[in-house]
Amino acid sequence: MVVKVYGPIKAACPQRVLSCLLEKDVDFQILHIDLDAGDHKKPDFLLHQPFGQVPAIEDGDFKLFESRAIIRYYASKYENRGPNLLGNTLEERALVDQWLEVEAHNFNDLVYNLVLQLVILPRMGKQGDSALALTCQQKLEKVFDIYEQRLSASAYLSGDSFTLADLSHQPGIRYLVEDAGMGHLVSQRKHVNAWWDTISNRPAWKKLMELASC
Amino acid sequence: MALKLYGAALSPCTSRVMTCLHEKEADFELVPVDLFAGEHKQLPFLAKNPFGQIPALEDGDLSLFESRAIAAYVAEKFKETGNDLIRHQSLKEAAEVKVWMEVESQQYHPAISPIIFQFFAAPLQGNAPDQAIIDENTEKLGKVLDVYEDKLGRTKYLAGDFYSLADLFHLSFTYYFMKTPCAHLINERPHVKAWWEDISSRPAFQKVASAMNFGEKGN
Repeated sequence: MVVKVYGPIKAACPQRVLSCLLEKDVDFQILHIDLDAGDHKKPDFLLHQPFGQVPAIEDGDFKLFESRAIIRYYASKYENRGPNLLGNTLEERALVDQWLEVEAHNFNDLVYNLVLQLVILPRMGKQGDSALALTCQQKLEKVFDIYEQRLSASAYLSGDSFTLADLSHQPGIRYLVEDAGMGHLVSQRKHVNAWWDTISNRPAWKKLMELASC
Repeated sequence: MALKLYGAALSPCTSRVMTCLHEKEADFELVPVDLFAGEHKQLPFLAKNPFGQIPALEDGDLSLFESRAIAAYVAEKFKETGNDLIRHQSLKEAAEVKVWMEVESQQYHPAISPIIFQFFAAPLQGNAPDQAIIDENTEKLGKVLDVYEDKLGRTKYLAGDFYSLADLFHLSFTYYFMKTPCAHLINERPHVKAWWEDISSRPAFQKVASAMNFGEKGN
């Protein structure tokens, strides 16, 4: 059965889910939600996601929202298919969780605010707050320094294999590098650069980029 | 060998983990980290969490940080003892728990945390609580709680009719919130209020709450 994914293919949080579904070779159908038209705040959509955010999924009768919960579900459901995105032992899984939390709490807000000020608001014809953007950038420099240190000790964030912890970063880093002019945050750090190069060249991610460019 | 948890008894993130440890009846030792002396921003603590935040856990060779990841690890490691927090026997129930764990992390926490900061932490830095920040976040939190009110009118707890890690994750920050003038946001929503009274009266949380005295005289 095809998984229905509600959300625009170009938005970061739906991409987090789609990258995971592609890694696990799960068939999906994207039901586009027009954020500019405010579709995500309308009553129909609120039935899928009461907080009015994308994405939400429907898998037969089963419904979920929150992109990080969705990827954990599919990584678990299809544990034995495709790459192991969760880790093998309890300890490995804990490290995957740890770096997923880092993405959610130490990384995401800074990237979100930076991209909002530098990319999204200007696209909507509004003025971004460049002081806020600068503060976010400075904090991100420190976060990436920590990632550089971590990635000098292992090829991926939680260890020697690609997991949900790395996958969760893909959409945000793409925004930084390709849309926000912040590529230097990555390219000036040897290990972060190598890591981004590797994870952005995964066939599943490249396939997603191809689908998103239509 | 007992687990070592590095943190502070009055810290909500440390308390999040300790509540989970008590629910699972797991032995642990709390190793105090002196926040007021900035111990968490220096070595050796930085080796345990390079982001300089408490808590951190040591279990033999395994070193972890991020309170939600630590709690999830404890709930998984000790899944056969104490109270079932993660519904590991059912993939779908486990997924529902994860949805509402994410909701706490992505919706609830960003609204409630600045309010706690303004009332409890700002005064320590010599600042009065910033009413604009409080107002902005009580408005956000109110909308989140409207969603909770609706959900808790349909299920007894957030992920279903069973208590889970998703409910537990809300305890420590909400406990401090209830000591502020904004507590009415919880009290004026009957299902949310009933849920709060239920989950905060659990013995595992009661053990931890007694030490959560940030902002009181002498602390």
